[in-house]
Amino acid sequence: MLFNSFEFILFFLPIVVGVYFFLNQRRLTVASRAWLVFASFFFYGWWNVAYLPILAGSVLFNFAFGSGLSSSRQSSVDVRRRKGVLVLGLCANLAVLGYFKYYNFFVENMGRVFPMGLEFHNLILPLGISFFTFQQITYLVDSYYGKTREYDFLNYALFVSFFPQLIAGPIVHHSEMMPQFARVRNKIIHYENVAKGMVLFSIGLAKKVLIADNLSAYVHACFDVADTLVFDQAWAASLAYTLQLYYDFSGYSDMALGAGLLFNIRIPVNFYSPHKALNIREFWRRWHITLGRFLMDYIYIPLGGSRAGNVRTYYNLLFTFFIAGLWHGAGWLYIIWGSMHGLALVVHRMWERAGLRMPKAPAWALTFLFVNTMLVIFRATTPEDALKVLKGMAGLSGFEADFYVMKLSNWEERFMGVAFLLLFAKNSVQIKEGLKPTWARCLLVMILIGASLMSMSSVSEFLYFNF
Amino acid sequence: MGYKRFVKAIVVFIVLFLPANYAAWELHTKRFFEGYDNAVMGDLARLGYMPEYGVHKGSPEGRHPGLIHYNNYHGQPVDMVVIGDSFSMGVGGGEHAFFQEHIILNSDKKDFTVLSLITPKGPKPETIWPLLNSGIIEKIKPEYLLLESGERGCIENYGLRPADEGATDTIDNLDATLVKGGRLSESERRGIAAGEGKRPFFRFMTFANLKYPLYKALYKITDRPPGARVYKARLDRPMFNTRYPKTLLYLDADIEKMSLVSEANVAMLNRNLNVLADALSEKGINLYFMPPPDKYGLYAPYIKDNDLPVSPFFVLMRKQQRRYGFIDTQAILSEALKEGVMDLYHQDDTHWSSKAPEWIFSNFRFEPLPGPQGE
Repeated sequence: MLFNSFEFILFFLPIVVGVYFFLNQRRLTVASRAWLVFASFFFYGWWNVAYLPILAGSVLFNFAFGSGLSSSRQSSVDVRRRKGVLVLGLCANLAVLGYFKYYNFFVENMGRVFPMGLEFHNLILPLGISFFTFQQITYLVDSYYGKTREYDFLNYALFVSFFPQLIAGPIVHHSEMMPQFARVRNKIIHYENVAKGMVLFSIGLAKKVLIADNLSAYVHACFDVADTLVFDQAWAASLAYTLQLYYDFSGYSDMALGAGLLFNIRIPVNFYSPHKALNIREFWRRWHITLGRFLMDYIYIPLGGSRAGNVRTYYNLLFTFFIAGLWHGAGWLYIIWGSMHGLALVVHRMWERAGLRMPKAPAWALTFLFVNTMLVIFRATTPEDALKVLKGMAGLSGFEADFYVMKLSNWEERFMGVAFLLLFAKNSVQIKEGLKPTWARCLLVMILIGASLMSMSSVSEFLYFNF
Repeated sequence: MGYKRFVKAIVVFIVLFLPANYAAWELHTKRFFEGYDNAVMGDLARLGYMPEYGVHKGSPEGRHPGLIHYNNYHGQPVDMVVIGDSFSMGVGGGEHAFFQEHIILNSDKKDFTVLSLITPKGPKPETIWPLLNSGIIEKIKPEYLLLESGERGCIENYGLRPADEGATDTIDNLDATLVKGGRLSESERRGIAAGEGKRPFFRFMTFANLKYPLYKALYKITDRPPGARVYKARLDRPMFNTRYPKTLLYLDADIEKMSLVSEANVAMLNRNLNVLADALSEKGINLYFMPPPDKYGLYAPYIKDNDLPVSPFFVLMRKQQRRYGFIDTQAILSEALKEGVMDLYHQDDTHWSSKAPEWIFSNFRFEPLPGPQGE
């Protein structure tokens, strides 16, 4: 089920919210949480019921292991044994993720070097597996280090499967989610949260269906269909994709946050005007924030972070973002994209360490251009397509075209211009925080919702559903 | 207002918004997708939200057995292969809806057969080269290959770059070129127009509910509303057997695409068709080119107080030195209009009615090409 679908907006969400608070009103708080778990599994199974055992199995396995690790810390269980359990748990999670996501990639690439006679498997990636696997890895690691409390199974199941963040994040942390499910105050409907949730949701929906979806046809035509792209086409294509990805993914995150807020659950912010960033480090503090947090807390810092000298720090950064690239997909283009961001972070660190400074305007331009250019690699489905666009951007394919596979109309150019300028306006989180309930704002939300519902004549998948 | 009222107002809005859209869809919007007074909407009536211009096209009455679509083709030799755009798909409706049938009916040869191919890329050189290079055209053994391309698409299809690009492309079989084997059925057309198959239940939630009353109001003020895809014009005489016989509807692209027509582009188009003609003639196949004229250009001489230019496409085409056959549809159909033929094009559509090809092919003969054509 997609957030931008009629069945979700008109049926699923109101029914789940309604029954949840109805049960809470009758002090049936266990039933209300069970209801949310059921609804979340229903939401997940809507795509394909065959996925459900994977999710259920993952929840049961990790809860058992995590609880075991947590309780064994208090007893006199041998440290090495506990570590063995942790490693086993991590390996099991990564093995499942690795199999579904990377097996065919492994077979294809190893087969080129060491023919092993392995066959490709016809695998369908279970939705959200990267997200809920990473979430539970944090739980296992924290359980080992004694950073988890005694959580009940229902709260744990809800932490993993809570439908607003189940399919495409944000990657939530147990310590920020499970106490919220337990808090008594959250069992009562708070109209301020409902109002803010609705506003966030409607902004996210509009970003997705009114902006991102309107850019997708042009992006597809340029990246996947055109044989060559001249200078202006290539830059228009890259910019269109940068905008499409931002509005699509941040739109989804807004809808996730908004839906969570309806239940008084605050899901962590995932985007905070990333294209306002003045350097690449700031960019990663504003873009896919929860992924960056995970990478920092569970890969970069355990590797040593910046504590072990410059060279080691640079290695840690490169490796962390190599993992970031690999997490995004089983493909060399994703790995290159992630590694290039790692390299940019290394360069930025060197720059800062050298005490150099840059004025804001060129700093912004450099950051944006880098991110925009790297997204060409991220988007392209083949190295040839990536090169086609990059060559065009460099002017190597000429500056005039006889033929445009798809030309932007004047209206579309203006639309892209507005979408670009909106990057610098207040973001949805700021709008939500500053929301005052006035008729003017209410009318604006109605217009957003009305326009979005009317645009939803065909369903489109979120870009990050592939992860 | 408090947060509770804020929430309630939005909920009430959504609850009322849905049935309001449903009512708008059922009462008016649906009609120009699914038909008005049993008339299937032409593309202009739909794009312009003008169901009142919908024209009865009648049900298709079968097809001449000499016209073969790919799904009926079993490898038999045919006299002509037609590769075209929507004009080749028989959207005119009625008896002998396909222009290909009129070619057959007017042919001197008994049992003349035409194979009609609908290809994803349309009637472009990139479609022809693979068929030639793979030997597929030779196996089909037509005497004629007719390329049909609506006037406003001609420059984009043939006139922007040399046809030699892709001249070595091949395909494995004829299947790879095809999107569908023939015309869409009436119910398919209605269904696609009404958005069925996409969101069958919620298709009533559409911007068309707003656009219909908006354009209805705008067309009362101006014949060319900003942002409209369809323009209106007043004719100096009745030319359609409809409720509004002196009203011409045409697509905005008829005007916009004129900017592509230049001596250089038409020369490139001609060069490319000559290159194709030479390659085909080596296989014993005669290339013919037929651009159905844009509706605006054909009816322009009859528009009252016309302040818009007219495309020089056909004027320039007549000056070219050709090694292919050229069907000057504008010249032939202009004569038809002078003779007072009504409904040559459907009033509510960018496409011609079956009267147009009937007129063309009763005044044109296909013959093997002796040498260079043109002025």
